[in-house]
Amino acid sequence: MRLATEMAEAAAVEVADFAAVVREHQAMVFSIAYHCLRDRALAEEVAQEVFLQLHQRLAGFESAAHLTFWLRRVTSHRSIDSARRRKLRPQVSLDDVPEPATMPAVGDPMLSRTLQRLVASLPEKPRMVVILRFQEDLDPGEIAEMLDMPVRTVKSHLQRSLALLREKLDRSVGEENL
Amino acid sequence: MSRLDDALREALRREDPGPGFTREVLARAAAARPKQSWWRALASGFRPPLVRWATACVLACALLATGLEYRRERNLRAEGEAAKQQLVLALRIAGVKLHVAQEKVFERSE
Amino acid sequence: MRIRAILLMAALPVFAQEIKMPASVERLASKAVESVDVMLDGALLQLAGRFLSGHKPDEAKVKNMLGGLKGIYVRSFEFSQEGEYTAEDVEAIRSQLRVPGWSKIVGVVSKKDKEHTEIYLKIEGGSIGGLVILAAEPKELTLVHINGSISLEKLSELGGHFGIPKVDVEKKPAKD
Repeated sequence: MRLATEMAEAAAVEVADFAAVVREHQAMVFSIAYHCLRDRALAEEVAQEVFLQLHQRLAGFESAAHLTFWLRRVTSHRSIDSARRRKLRPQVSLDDVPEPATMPAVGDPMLSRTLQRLVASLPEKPRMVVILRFQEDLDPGEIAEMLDMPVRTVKSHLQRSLALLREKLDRSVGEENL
Repeated sequence: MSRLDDALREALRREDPGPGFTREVLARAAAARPKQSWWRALASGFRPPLVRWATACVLACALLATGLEYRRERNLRAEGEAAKQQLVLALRIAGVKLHVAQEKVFERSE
Repeated sequence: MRIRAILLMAALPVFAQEIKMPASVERLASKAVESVDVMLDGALLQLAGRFLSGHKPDEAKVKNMLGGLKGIYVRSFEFSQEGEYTAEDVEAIRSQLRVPGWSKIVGVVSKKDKEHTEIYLKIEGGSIGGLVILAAEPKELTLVHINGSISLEKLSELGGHFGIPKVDVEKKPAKD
């Protein structure tokens, strides 16, 4: 029965490996989906589906970097698809952005919440570009490869999105140099 | 590096999904994973002494039947999961459109 | 997400009419940047129901709705620009609902957003036997047909789950 024991152990190792991969990457996968969709339940669903898809092909990765690339790419595309199907991009008007009594500092939860909502109001692809740039710290070339778009398009999305975010924040907060 | 960049990094910081996320993923993965070990364990533990070939044939037929049944089950499961996903998608679209209509009705009833 | 399915093109008797996208709109499918095509008849709905967990609140709600349903059909096109479909195309869908049994209960037009949403119910023997939602937006045309006994209340209870916004019956109208 030695072979049966070895196989049972191999299956247990496979489960343990997969569990370790999930634990290591769940924050990354969930956060990409959540910052895109701004819906925790939906983001969890997308994240679960990504890991289930990963489970089908766990043995096919050459390296940890390859695995991370794959997870980011699949999560990004699934989140964009999900956002498009949902088609309720919350249109944030300046009325929704409260005027603070004082200028919020970086790290201020209110500023963070406002920025999250403003990012979520961007069109789906520019939104994902911003998320990959500032959550995952990827450069435009990496983002271009991930989202199957030209580098110049990534840079254009970044530039325009930041300008829009800056303008909306300037008008609500009165911060000139943000 | 501008303050907006720093603020965006802060706002878009990674956060963990709810507790139990890993457990749910593993449970769903286990439900989808084919359970093969029992028949392999049976085959591996068997040491036919004298009627080796006859026993091997019987085992092969049993494995073939099991394999066909397993494939049928797997296909059914795949179809069922696909139908479930389609159902959720359809209800989501219906729910979103109903919500949009309701929002507009409320706007007009002011 | 693109989902391809074989369309049922046979004509059906009026009393069991299948509401579908007219052929003129189906021809636009190749221009759509995204299309959704869901065709779940009774058998597939039953199958889907077997894979819904009664222990998960979200899935239990959906499972609870399936009892009286005979079919769910969704056809949706998203285009890259406005004007890919015409008012005549929308009218061709609408005309299928001007038959005995179907009543329009909601019709909302937003000139600002150029959106038009209509909801129809089929009443059979005093109860709801079907629901159609027709949503026409500048770059998107969606037709949802739920055949069978559907509870609008149960459908609205899905709000807050599966990415569906919560329908708040107590909500005050938004300010302009």
